Amino acid sequence: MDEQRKQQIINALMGIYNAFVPTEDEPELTMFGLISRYNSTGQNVELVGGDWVIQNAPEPLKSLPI
Amino acid sequence: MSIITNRELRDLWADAAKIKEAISGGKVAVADAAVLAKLEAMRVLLAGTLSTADAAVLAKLADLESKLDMILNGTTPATVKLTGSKVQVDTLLNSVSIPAGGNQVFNINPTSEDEIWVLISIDKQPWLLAGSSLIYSSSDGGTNMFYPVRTGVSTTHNIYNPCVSLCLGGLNLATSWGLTPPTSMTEARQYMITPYQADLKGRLVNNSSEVATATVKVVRVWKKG
Repeated sequence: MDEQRKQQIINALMGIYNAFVPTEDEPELTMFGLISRYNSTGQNVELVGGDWVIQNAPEPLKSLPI
Repeated sequence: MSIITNRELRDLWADAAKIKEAISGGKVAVADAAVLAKLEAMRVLLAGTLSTADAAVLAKLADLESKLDMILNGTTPATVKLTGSKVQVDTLLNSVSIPAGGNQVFNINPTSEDEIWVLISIDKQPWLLAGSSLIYSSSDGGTNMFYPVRTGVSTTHNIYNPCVSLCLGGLNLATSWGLTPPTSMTEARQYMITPYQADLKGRLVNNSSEVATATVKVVRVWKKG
């Protein structure tokens, strides 16, 4: 994966993070919630998961609860 | 007026000489203000405050207080010796993306646990959970190595509400093995084989038509410390 694509993914994940609104069922955004939402966009052709986020994404994404 | 004899007088004189000698030799302190203050302090101690006013006791209390402060603020955490059950939660798969019809294998990595519970969070359905058996180390040995069996599961489970099964240790409790599958947790426990095999594996299969997100955790339980 080249740097440009990596940054695209991070931008998409940050967009999900910023758009998250807590609910009673989901009081905080978790890594599971982040990747689930990203998969729902149909853009996750590389099938990245939580470990990829921890290794490649900046804060606050990399420290989301697992 | 009383009259003393010569002998008594000599004795008194001798005692006075001894007192004088003791004072001049530093063996006896004169009852000055400092001595009186100490005597007063002793009187107070003996009046009921001895248990808390004693210097050695106060020093010990101060030392304990200091140690407690360090434990509470985390400077020197207290060592805890477990004498009962121990529980540990490990994440085996962290929000992996499983393609439609695909699967993800995970190593359970048992050590000396008495029980291992598998917790599945997955956002697509249907799905199933398989595992390795005692005689087949591949992760698709069957689905009856867990109880309750999770095959054709039509529910999704978020991270807060995982689907939980007990790992039975590698006996495939199926009719194909000549066994009657258990119908309760009590029955299933009777088939448990522990300690678990070191190469125990699980496999999560996404039978939906979409990419699934899945997290697998295990709860390891040791009944005695």
